[in-house]
Amino acid sequence: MTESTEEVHESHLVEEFESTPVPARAQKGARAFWGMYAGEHAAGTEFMIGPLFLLAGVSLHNIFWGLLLGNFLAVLSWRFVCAPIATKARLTLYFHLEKIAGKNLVKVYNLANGVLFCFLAGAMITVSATAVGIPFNLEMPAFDAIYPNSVSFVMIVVAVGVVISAVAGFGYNAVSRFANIASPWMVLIFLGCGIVALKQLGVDSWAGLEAIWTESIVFAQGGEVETSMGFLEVVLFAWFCNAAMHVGMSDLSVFRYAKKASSGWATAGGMYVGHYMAWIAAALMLAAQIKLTQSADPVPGPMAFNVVGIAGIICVVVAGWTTANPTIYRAGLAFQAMLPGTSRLSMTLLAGSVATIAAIFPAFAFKLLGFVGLYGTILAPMGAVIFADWHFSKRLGVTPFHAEANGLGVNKSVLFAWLIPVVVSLYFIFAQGVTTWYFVLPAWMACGVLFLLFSRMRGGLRSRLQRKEE
Amino acid sequence: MRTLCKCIGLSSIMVTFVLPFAYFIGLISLEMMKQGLLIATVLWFATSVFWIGKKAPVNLDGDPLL
Repeated sequence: MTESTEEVHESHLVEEFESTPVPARAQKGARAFWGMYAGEHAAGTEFMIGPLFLLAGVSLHNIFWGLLLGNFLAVLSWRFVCAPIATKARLTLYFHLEKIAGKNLVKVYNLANGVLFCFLAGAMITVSATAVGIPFNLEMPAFDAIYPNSVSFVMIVVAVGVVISAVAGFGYNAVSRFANIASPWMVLIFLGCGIVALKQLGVDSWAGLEAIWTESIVFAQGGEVETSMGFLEVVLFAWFCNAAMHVGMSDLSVFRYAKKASSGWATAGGMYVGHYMAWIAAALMLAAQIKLTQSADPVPGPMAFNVVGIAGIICVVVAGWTTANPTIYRAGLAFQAMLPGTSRLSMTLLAGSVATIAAIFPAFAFKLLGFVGLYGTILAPMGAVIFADWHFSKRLGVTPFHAEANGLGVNKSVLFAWLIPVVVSLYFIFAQGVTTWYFVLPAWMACGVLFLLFSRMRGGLRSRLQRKEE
Repeated sequence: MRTLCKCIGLSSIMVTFVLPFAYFIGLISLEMMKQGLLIATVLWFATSVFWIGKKAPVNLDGDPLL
């Protein structure tokens, strides 16, 4: 698994092909992508997301079948939306988007990306801190906590955040290599956590597991069973939690190295290892913790320690650390793109500081399900612009790669096509309290349609003005 | 040296896979499994650095991984 990951990454090392299409000699077969996705999607946040399903009162049936279907839809999105364009254009997301949206608009998109990265990294730091705190007998924050519960918790979060930020700033490559080494081991620890938790639950049949699962929900919800996520919500969450990567086209950057679009099937490795097995394993860990200790706090460190001991603590720290690092690094790059003249190191440290401050508030980690939906709602619609430009522009008489063709810094058709659905979605999310993951698909589709509509209208207006001048 | 490290590393990862199942079917105790996993973890990290990822992977242009 890891050797194949190395194969993919070696090509990046030699030559990044950031502004030129990836040539045939640097392209890779599907095998290389299976290992990469399987390893990379077993991340620190998996420890958080699985237990949150139990706390949301999701039935066992809906978890098993909803995640199965939702992850399949995510794989289809990679295979049929992202990979075909990636293997034809062979450009990074940013370079591709720059040609359509303009250099300045890509910077704004990049900034939005960077800010959201910081909060995701913050959740990952919180996850790591819950494991680091175990040897110090740190009292963990409760599930409904918004603010930190003690000075010790703040100190440990800050210590973890400082180390992660410093490493992201000074020694990113070493961490990347370490992540590569850790990924097969982490996948097996996740699996082990699930198997041990199942044994601790003491069930020998599906009916028994369902009964104890329902008991756990009743306990966690203080004597009631209230479900905030049904089958549809679980499907939508699994489908869109990586929306920015598949329908949002971020993985154009990965699949531009693929020989064929069929390599998109390799994402099944990540979805069914990280977003199926690992989520279910983590959810079972919380159920086992409820049974054994009568604690429903979904704090990853103690949960992993209960089932697999010190190896579990190491896994939580490593999983949080290896995923927070590249996230902070990327946020730093995004900030640097907005502020030319600043150093990468200072911007990485700034991103790390923002992430660490966010990590002090456990609510960011405990509200991860909603935040992931928000992340997809804001970023994924830009992928619809790329999709619509690639498949429909010529047919509708719109110039493909419009910003590049006309030397624009900001393509207003893209700007408004992105802003309108995102602002409408944010209104419903924040003012009306509607769940975030309902908006990813409508916002994506609206953005694509509006982009074509605005481009067509502006093209028609420009033609009329030209005719008048003549 | 590299071959030896590879053998130890692959054995330790195999042990990491097998131990939870051994506990599940009642072959070993929980404590024994936890200790075994810790030893396998130490061996994996101590030996894999010599044969995995000689070159640092660089993949910075995607999104954070969830």
